[in-house]
Amino acid sequence: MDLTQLLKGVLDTAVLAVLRGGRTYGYDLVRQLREAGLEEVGDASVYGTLRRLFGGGYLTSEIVPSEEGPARRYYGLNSAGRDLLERSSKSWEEFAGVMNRLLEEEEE
Amino acid sequence: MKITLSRIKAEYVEQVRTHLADLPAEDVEEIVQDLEAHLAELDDGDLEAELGTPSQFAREFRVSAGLESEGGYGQLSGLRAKAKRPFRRLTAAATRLAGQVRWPSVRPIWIYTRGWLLVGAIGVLYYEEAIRHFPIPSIEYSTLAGLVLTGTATALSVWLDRAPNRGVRRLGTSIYSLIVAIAVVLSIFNPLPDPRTQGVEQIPDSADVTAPGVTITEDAVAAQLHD
Repeated sequence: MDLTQLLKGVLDTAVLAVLRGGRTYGYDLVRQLREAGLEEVGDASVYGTLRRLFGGGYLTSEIVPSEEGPARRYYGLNSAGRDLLERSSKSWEEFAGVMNRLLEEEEE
Repeated sequence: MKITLSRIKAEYVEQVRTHLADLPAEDVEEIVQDLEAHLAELDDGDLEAELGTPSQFAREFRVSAGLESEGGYGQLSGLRAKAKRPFRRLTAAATRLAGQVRWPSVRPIWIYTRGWLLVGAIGVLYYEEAIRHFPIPSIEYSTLAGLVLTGTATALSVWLDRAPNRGVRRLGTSIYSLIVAIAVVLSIFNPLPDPRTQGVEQIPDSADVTAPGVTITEDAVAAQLHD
């Protein structure tokens, strides 16, 4: 199955889920998503997703100077972002439940 | 603190900036800042392997940011992209439609007869009496004009069907068929009443249009010509 297609539908939720663990900057977010197992995730997709979520009012952003290089923009969840994550999480559980049942029925 | 990126990285950033030039300047600045911080974490040699080309990066960003459909016009400047979008959608829809229509046996017959159908329908549209010359198409009582036009329309139809460019072939042949369909429908419901021919029944009219006259044409036309 083409994982990149699947990923498109759930990247928002995955990004929100990582940010629930604390605010972070783009490069680190990409790294965390890959470490979690989403190895196919594209860097530009993560930045685009961050941009859209921030534009939608779900994220905070703050520039933090870095000693090693250019200043980094840290993104974090605000209350709207936490609400969205909660809703997305429920939708995902329902969807995953349906898919699991469907696939189990197939096997029987 | 302003950190200077390597020449390769700076070049990459500038190219991404160019590909996003149609977005609001403030947004572009923020995106570029994020990208610069990101590139600082990578080695010069890894840029394209990690991120794709600047054009790919910009497109992927647009799609996930909800700024662009997946068709993507990342290569075009904003204004041109906006101008081309509706046209591209239209041609894409027409091409899809043409691709779905597959009549393996009927198609060649259709290509060779639709010119005749078109001229016939137009003839009937102007003068309902033209139906009396069936199956010879006539324009304003002139069967010669009808035949000449039919020849031209058929030649155009065949040329379009064989056009070397796939896009021209598909779009041209779809538009041609559409025009024929419109002409036929109009000739059936004739919105241009001719006082001299009012009361003439519609039956032969629709018979002309729906007749399987397809195979008749060439022989019949030739026969009539010899008369």
